[in-house]
Amino acid sequence: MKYLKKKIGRNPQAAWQEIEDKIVIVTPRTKKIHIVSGCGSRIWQLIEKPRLGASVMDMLADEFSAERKRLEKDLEDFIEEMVSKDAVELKDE
Amino acid sequence: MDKICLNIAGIKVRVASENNVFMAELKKKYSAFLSKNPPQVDIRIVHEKRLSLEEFIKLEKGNKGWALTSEEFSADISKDVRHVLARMAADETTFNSFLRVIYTLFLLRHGGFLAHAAGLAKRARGFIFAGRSESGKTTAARRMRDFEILSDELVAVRKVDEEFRLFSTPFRGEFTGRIENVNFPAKAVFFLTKNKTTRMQAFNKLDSLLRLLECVFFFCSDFESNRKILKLVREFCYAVPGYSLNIENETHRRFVDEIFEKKDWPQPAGCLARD
Repeated sequence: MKYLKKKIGRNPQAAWQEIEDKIVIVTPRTKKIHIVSGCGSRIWQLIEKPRLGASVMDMLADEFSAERKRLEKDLEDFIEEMVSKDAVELKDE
Repeated sequence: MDKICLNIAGIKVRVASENNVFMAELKKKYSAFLSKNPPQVDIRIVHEKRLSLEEFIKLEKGNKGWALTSEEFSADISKDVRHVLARMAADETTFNSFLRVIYTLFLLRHGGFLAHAAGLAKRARGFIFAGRSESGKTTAARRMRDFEILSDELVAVRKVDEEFRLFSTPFRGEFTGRIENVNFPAKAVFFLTKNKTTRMQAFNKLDSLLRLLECVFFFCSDFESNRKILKLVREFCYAVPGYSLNIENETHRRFVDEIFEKKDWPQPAGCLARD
């Protein structure tokens, strides 16, 4: 997983609300609405304060019964999608 | 300088301009919304023709307050949103467009928002018929008989004493009849569709939220405003059930009529009616 040594955090300008186990995010500037569910909802909670990718990964592995490789893929997909939507920021350690 | 005080959605605004003809037109057009109570906001209008090259409406928060820019009007708004210096042509249609935009800011500060929707009321209950252009808002206003029309274009929603209420507005579409200054508790939102195969059904909170967000009339781009509006619309969707509705469908319409006659409002669970 290529983001293990990156700090993952929410874009502080992204407004969000939790509704029926899903996260609704409104990104700044574009004011577009995005929905995050399942594992993504948990990742969003975990990165309330920026965390290392490795730390997020360990926490997901503790909480979800899925294979580590699968979780790594989920985390990677989440990061890439949310960064492209301006909802998540990446910083070097 | 001539002045009038408007009361829209319970927010009182004093409007002042040196153009007496313009002010006389406002008095006439907004007669149902005139108020004698002290204003919460002062708007002073300076009449200028060409204002900005901005194609889109922008409402941005700066260090000294808010700046509203558009092709037709512009305004400087104080940080506490109590004083507005607006620039626009001496034309009621432009003023109405300006008022629609600036009220999104006033409403947000008072726990409210404007929904791109028709608002109808019956038996002291308010109902929203929401949808994009051409979705049937004006048709809903025309077809639902024995209803009081709050607006066929933009209805105001405000949380007052822990209850969401619908307020009539002078922001209308094609409806030409008189709209009184009234408000009622919000009882349901109907999301209008022209899809003939759509079943009339209750939406879950998330679907309601997503559909309603698409209908919220909103221009602020700052984080705090976005956070507030999202929180408010979420609260609204938890408090007020949402349903799909094809206003052209006789069965849907009859069912809605039947619902309105009932004393007890049905719970927003499950499918309500069949086509």
